Amino acid sequence: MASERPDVDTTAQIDSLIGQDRVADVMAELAEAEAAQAEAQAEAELAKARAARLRSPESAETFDPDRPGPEPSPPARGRSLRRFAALAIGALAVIGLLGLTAIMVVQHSKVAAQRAYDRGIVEAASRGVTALLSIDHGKADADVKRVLDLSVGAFRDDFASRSEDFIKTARESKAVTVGSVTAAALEATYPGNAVVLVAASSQVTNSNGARNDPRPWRMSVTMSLDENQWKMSNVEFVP
Amino acid sequence: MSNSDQPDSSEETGVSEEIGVSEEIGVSDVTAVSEETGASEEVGAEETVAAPGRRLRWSVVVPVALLVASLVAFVSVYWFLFRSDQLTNAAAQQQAVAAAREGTEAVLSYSSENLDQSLAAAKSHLTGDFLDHYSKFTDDVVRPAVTEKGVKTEANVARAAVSQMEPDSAKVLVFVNQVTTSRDRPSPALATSTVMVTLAKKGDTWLIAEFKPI
Repeated sequence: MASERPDVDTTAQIDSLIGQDRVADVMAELAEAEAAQAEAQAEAELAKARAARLRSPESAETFDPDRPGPEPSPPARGRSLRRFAALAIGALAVIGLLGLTAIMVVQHSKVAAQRAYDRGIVEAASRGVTALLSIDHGKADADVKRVLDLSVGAFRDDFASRSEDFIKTARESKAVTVGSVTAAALEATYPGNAVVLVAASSQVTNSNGARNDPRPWRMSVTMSLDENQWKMSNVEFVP
Repeated sequence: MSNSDQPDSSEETGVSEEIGVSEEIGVSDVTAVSEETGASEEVGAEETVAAPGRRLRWSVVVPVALLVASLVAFVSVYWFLFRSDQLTNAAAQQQAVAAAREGTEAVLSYSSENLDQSLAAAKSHLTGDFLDHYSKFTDDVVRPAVTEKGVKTEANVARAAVSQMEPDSAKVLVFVNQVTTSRDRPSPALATSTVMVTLAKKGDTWLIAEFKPI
């Protein structure tokens, strides 16, 4: 039994040895396989890297301008740049157009304001001439005062100095004169002054009710600015 | 190479493709440049390739709409406000007044000696209905009277001013003095009148379209 033991032991040892060998073999094989796989992986990685390098446009070869690379980068880059340029030009155009439009609108508002201002002068001249040609013997004082209120300067002084005679004559005649403006137009403007042409007519009704034909007048009225109000400073009859 | 420089260099290379990148960027910078330009290119490729539909359409539609809107605003303001103001400004009003003066004097000045000539000259200042009216009136009334009575009349505009101004029409208030002589009455007779002359712009010239004594 004892002799058998070593045999057994030996066998076991051998077995174990063989087993160990087998294990070692297997392990060796495994290691080999692993190494091969790693190698293959490395190779694959290397190939991938090579391929990536080939594909990527920034590898040294890409900088060769003569190389007809299949990469779409130059057209894509050109397209996005063209788009950027188009957007920039478009933005400039929009800004420019809107700026010019704003300038024109401001300019127009100035012109419109000037027109309104000019209309105000013509209307003031028409009011003044109407008052000047409208004298009712019944309210001559008020009528004359109204003319004086719409006058300034030399014309006002002149009219004021003759107003008493004027009122007296109007009362004695017992007539009612009604004036109206047919047309008026701004002839010229100066700072603070303006000349308005006025076509007017006056109709006199006597005390007995008889009406004369309307009498036409052609007048050149100089208007002057007096405390923000346009008033008659000179009235001329155009012969 | 700093980041702020990067877009510029890529722009330059993109714009001047024939020059070549290697000339723009030094060889020592190649690796640094390659990483960044590579990234920007991929984004560019994505934009154009991956989403050609919606993204591209909006990025085109909005700017174009803005451009069109501002163009419409510009053109309409120019045409309806600016151009209109220009055509009715002081210089334009002076032209209208000058045309009204010349036309009025031509229409009211004639003599038996050169009637055809003066009437033709007058007609060159007229247009529309008033031209027809004037032609008929001068043929029916003026010509017989002038030749029979040896009338000579000459009009002179004393004063004139614009009453209404539009880009293609104007009204001018005209004070006219007219001196008339005839075989029967050789001493000059002065007549004064006031006329509202309506002008119409035909091409570049103002012509009398209406002649209304008031």
